[in-house]
Amino acid sequence: MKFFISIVILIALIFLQVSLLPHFEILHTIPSLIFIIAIAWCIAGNFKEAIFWGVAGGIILDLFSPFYFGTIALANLGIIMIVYFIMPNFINNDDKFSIVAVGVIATFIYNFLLIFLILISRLARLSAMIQPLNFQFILSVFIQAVLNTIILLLIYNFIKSIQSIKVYYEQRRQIKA
Amino acid sequence: MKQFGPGSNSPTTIFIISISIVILLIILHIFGILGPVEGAVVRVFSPFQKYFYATGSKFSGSLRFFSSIKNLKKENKELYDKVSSLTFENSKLERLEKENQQLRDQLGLIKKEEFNLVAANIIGQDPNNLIQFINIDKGSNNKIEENQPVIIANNFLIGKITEVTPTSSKIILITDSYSKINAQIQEAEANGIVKGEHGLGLMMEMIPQDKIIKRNDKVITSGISSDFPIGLYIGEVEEVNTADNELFQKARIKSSVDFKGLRVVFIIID
Repeated sequence: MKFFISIVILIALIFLQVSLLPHFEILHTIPSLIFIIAIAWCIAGNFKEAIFWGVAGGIILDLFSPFYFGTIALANLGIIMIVYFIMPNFINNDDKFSIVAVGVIATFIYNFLLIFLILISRLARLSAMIQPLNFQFILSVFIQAVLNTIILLLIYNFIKSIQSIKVYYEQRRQIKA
Repeated sequence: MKQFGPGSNSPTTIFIISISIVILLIILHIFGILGPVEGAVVRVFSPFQKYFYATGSKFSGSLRFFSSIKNLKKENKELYDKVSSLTFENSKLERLEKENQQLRDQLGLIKKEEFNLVAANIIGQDPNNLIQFINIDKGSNNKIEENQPVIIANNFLIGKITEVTPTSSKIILITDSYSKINAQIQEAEANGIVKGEHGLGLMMEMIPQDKIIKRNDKVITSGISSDFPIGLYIGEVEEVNTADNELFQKARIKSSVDFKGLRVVFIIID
């Protein structure tokens, strides 16, 4: 049941990301919803959920993206690994400042990972697509970092609430047992 | 404060399994084995995407309308002036068309062929908004192929097909940095290359220095490359950058197309 709900939410968010959000861009930029949710699960310490959102979401988004198939899924996997394994060495708690720092840094790394993977697919002659690393790109990544971080804070708090409710019911179940 | 980081469920194992799955899917995609599954997913998603896209377009259109109310008076004046000049131009063109037809009849020339078009609905855009690109709900089942030009009403060029599945296609817009079009400034008969600027506009480069270009000159496809037929409308010259120490001139091109408000496009299949 939980898996089914996750799939439904994932697909609904993909519709939003691909078909609705592009109409409401802010300074030519939109937030990356699937990336944000994967990162939020990462910070909340649930690696399995983070991987589910990153890989399943990435694979479906790849079907609707201009990049070569697999680019977004691989970029999601890369950023999940970085946030889960490397960032805790530098940012050690889940206060708001740490989440803002993770949101901004992860967005920059994620976009550069995308550029790197686009370059690899071009070098491998799988795709002719290229994303120039110019001022406009850097500016759009910066704006996206701000948007992603704002949504990350909201989603992270939501995930924490879900986790707290889950812990509360589990404790009640144990007490009853 | 709760720490976040490696915990239970052996993340390394999960990661290795996940990356193996993704790499396997990429390999299957390269060999085309995944094609039918991809096509099926796109086919199932397509009607929902169409609905979401149309809803978003409607809402954003209304928002744009409200934000543009303050400029309506100025826009109205500009449009009134433009209608006057276009009415004059139109009557001139009608006369020329008649003359042209008479001369064609006399010379026994066949009438210029119309394009063979396929209409398609837009169902999505780049999820990362890095590339100026759209998805449509028609594919190879409707005779759509890679590199075919995409237009809207009145032969306004908007992009070209980059990827095709049986039921959907991907279009790169002319406003993307990746897009390059051989173009001509009609009045000056000056050839050049129109490039996109990350969705912010269009820039025409490689225009010879000896050509005199004016504001509002029309820019069309030159037909030099086989990608686009001659005469598709791209936009009007907005600003000319001429520097004596440069080999070529540059011109900023203003497109009349509202790329965000598009709902239906036409693909030139023949």
